[in-house]
Amino acid sequence: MIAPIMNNKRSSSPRIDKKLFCGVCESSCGLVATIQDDDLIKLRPDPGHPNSKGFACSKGLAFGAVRDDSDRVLQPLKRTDDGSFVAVSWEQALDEIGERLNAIIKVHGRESIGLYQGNSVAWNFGAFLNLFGMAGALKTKHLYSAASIDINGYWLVSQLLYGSNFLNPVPDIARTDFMLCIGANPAVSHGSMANIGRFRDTMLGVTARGGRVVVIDPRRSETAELFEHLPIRPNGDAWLLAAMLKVIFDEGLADLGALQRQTSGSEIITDLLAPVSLAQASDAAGIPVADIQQLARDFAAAPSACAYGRCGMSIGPFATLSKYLLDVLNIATGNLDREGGWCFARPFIDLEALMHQLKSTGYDRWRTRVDGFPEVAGTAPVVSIPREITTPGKGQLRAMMVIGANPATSSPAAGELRDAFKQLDLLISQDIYITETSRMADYILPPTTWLEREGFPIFTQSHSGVPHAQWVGPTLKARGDVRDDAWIMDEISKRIGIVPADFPGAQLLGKLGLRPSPSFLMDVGLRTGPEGDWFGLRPSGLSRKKLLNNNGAIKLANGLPTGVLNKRMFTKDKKVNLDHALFRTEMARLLASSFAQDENYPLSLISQRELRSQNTWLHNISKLVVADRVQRLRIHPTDAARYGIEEGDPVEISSPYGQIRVPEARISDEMMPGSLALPHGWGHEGGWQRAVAVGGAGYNQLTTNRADSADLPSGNATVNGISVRIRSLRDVVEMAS
Amino acid sequence: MSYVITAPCVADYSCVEVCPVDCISPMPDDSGFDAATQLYINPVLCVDCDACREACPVNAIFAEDQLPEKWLDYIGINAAHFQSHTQAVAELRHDK
Amino acid sequence: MISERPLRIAIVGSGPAGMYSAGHLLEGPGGTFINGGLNQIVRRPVEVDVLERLPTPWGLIRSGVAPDHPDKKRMAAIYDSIARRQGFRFIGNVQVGRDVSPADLSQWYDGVIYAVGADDERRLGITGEDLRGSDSARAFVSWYNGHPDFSDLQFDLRCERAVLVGNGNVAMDVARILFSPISTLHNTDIASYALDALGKSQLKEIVILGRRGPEHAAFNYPELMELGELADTAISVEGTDLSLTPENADYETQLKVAALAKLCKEKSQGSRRIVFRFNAAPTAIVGEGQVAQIKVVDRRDQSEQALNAGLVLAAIGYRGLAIDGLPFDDVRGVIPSRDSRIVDNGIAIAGAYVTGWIKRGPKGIIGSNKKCARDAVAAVMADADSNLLPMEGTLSAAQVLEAINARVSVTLGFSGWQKIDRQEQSDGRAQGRPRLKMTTTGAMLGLVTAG
Repeated sequence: MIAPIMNNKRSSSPRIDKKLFCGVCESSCGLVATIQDDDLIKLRPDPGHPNSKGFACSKGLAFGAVRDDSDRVLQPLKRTDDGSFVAVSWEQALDEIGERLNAIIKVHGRESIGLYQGNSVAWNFGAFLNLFGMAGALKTKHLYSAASIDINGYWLVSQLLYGSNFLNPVPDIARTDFMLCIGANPAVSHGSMANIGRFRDTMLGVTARGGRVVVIDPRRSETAELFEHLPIRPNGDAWLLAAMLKVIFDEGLADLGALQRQTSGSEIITDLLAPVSLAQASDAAGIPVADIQQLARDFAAAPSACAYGRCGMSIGPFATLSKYLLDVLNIATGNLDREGGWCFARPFIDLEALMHQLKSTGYDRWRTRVDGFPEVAGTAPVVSIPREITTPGKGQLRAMMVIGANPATSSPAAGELRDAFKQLDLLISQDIYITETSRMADYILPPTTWLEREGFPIFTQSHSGVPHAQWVGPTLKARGDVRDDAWIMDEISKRIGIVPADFPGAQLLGKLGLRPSPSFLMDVGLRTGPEGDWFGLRPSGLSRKKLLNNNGAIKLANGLPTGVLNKRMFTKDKKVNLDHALFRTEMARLLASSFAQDENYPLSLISQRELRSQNTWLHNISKLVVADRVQRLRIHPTDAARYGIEEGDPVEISSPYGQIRVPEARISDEMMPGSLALPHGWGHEGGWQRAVAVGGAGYNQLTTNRADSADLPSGNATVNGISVRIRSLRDVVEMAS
Repeated sequence: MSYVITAPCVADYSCVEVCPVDCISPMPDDSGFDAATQLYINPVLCVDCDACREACPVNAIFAEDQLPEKWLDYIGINAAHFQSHTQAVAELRHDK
Repeated sequence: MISERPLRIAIVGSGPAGMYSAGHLLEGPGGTFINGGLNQIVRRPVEVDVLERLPTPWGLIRSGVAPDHPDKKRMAAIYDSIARRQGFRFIGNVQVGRDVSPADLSQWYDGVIYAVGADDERRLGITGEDLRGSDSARAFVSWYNGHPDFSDLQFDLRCERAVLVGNGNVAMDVARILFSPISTLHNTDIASYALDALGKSQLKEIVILGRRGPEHAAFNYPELMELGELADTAISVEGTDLSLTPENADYETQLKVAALAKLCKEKSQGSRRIVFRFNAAPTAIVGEGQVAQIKVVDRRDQSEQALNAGLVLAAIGYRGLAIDGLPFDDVRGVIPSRDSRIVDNGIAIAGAYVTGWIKRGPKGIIGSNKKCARDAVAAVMADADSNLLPMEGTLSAAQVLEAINARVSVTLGFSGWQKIDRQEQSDGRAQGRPRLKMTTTGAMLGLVTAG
């Protein structure tokens, strides 16, 4: 009755099950791969995984199709003069790249070389280490990360409050009495900056225990459908949070003892809140004053509570302030570092400590050349790239390596970025497909997928609700002539005379011919860290070898630790440092900002994640684009009536920066009136044929990279709450046909 | 938990197309498809990924924990499709 | 040799089978589910014309699915989305076999898929069948759904008892609509005149006749359970003992019989009554011009009983209707075919295909037609790849429209239907209803041609 097989090839070889974890999203679900003769027979969730407990989604489980995709690039490609690609050997590609980079370095210096990491690098520790290592060795300020179109404010706030970019508290949803979920849709996204297994079910557990979950979102999202929903105007989050804090402090609901005990500089809070008016906040957020008051009181009164926020509040013009206020809300209600509150996780490799020792974390240690943005965790913001390329002078960006990213679609003002990329002397893309970005590259260097390389969840281990350890070897043999990203970067590094590492003495070791591999470095980090075997002194501890030999993940604890604040803080006084001038500046900027809609662009557009989509990555997989997969603009019936939009109409969306044509409108009261939602990551070009055939339009033709439109402290792009106008193209289309 | 297909099902099988673990039955080329009055989710194999619910054109699919009260019996009806006849009938008689 | 021009295919009928065919011909990038996985079955550009005899598309989704089944009617959104794909064209108000012939189509197109459904019904074949008050359930359903061919029918519901012959899902739909509160029906797109007639109903009892025992009952479980949701309505069973259902009967049968037994127990009281009468065959309908009685024989002991009734509806199955110029299997009521290719005396007609009820007979549910359409499209594409399609002399899209318009005074495109659709929805909103259906072709065409 059930077709249990994906692969009908007959073989007498045994089938073996290898456990691994998913490298698609921050859920990092445990998986079991059934393998025969290097063929992936099937991927299934790992019921024994401590965190994901038998859950996985259609994206991760379909990843075998990415590995086996006939559109995948399987050997290095070199672009020819007519724009087409020819296959070349690794040796040729790397040697030519080395020569061209050396020529650029000779004239413009190492600081003219740029690196860009996409968020796939978060599951690719070798690439992650070598990328930061290369940037450090080159001493270039052109290290760009997709984080700066996503979450830069988090890195900044954690640096200032907790002393490290990488120390980010996570919500203890499994034990909380009240979860406030702002601008996040974990029922679809499966969570970000919170590696909570079975995220949806864990949230449902809150209400099943008699607790509450309140979802703040302009759209009645799939998550909001399951819980209480309070619609908010796009980018109203900072206002809401400020107003909630105002209520809490005015009404004496704050946990002053906790503030005294856990923080320094808490006086700033009253200063910040003094000028906040509930009426103004209510206008800006589109939430009645009484609702804000009630929400604040309920949150403060809950025995335990956690406020969690993601894209809805992290990609707007006040992202940093929003994140700060979110943390202050958690802290001021006594929820930091307590059960059911806002907790520090227990990574099995203590990267936070390692990065701190290597002085690799920070904020505003330098500023960017053209826009003057403060660096965040050693990176410059993506919004600046076109200007860094086109503005002459010392440090002008002349060559770029793009690793696992598609900024030609995913970066704001994508068209400007594409134009700027054309002016580079050299563009290298490490990508498995010919995408909108890699098709512009001089060389496409095809990497392994996470099924084909060694890995541990370097990023998400730091946010895991159930602390666990897992380190896996390559699950499958690499297809064709593809190589690990880390290897590719190291080979390029060799050819320009650097070691892709930023620890003291690394370059010297390189001169002696010693190039410690990322896995060696991470093993040392593990073995000397809190969970390590201390090279045999603690036999029960962990090592890479021990984990590689263990089929599956090892559970380290049942839940998030609490009472660990002193141990985890990297601040000098081991307390949360709340008082920083920039938050005063930001609050003043918020209060002075206008939240009235421009009459020429009366609607506010937000981006949307869909269940079977992951930004721009997975659109070439049949399973993920079958069954009525059309990019649809969600619009409230009132707005549809006002602007003459009928269900299914093609719609033109115009912003001050661009114009797109969306295939269909979907009229639904899931939207808050005045706001629109559009799935992002569509409108593909290049060699991934299915992705191209799905069609749709690029969200980022509507966004801007203007420096003054970004979240100023972090340089994070503003990609939510875009002011737009719309019109139906129904009649236009009819006339054409 | 599992997902459950309920009364509105018209056997459009968009759910089969998107299911990552092939746990929905009958599939269009299975012998029982043409006479099927609805499709069923195997609760043992379902991984709760939500893809079928999103793809269903007639809103017939629910997570078990969100199942409307009037369709609670579809938990058993879906499971029965994957049980032996004797077991399915025994459970049915026990329920009724 | 594969021609560079798009393959031009006509689909006759815009119901589920026709629209699923269009969907498969204009295959999405995810491919088609076939042989246990997703595969591309269309590897060349295709243009599709869907010819529909009514001004409105979607076949039984509009005129067959009960108005109180809005979830099932959501299938229209899927077909609507298919209709927006590149290469799709709707030509409404064209009847094949009357306005244009199959010979015309085979000349004009590379291939033709007939998806005309079952436009006729099986008849009881007993005396009195033509009396006023006796009709087919198909006619009644089409009437309350506002089908233009049935909108001038009159059903007088000012009688105490209605008898439904046959106990399939159509009978369940009819029984449920007959006993649903007007306030409930008001929130559906049921035709306004039907709402008026139902408002005047004096029906107290609906008897549902089944020729055989409950283990052969044709209704499905969900449709049965919906009768249980009717307020103030008793449900009972006659002519059988439900506890005697055989142990070895299949699960679905046992589920249905157990559910029926439970309904009888739980719904024993009510001012109205639905009686499932098994092992009962009608022998005659009696009355002077108007139905007064139906005679029913108990097939267990051959005893006969006359039931007073003012309405008799035969719900014993739909049936295909022959199309002039195409072969027809009069016994099965289908166009004869082999692997979806229409055959005449066993020989396949090049470029002519069939799908849906006119191929399989009136069996299966909406989605059964998706697979059926898929197979028809796979046959078309296989023949195209083998150069078996009669591609010589095929007309361009513009030429086809010209040829059709030369024979039909008014046709409409998809935008014409959208105009009707918008009008119906806005008329509905004005009355607090989801849609107010237009129920005559004249009114629809008038709207489309006006301005």
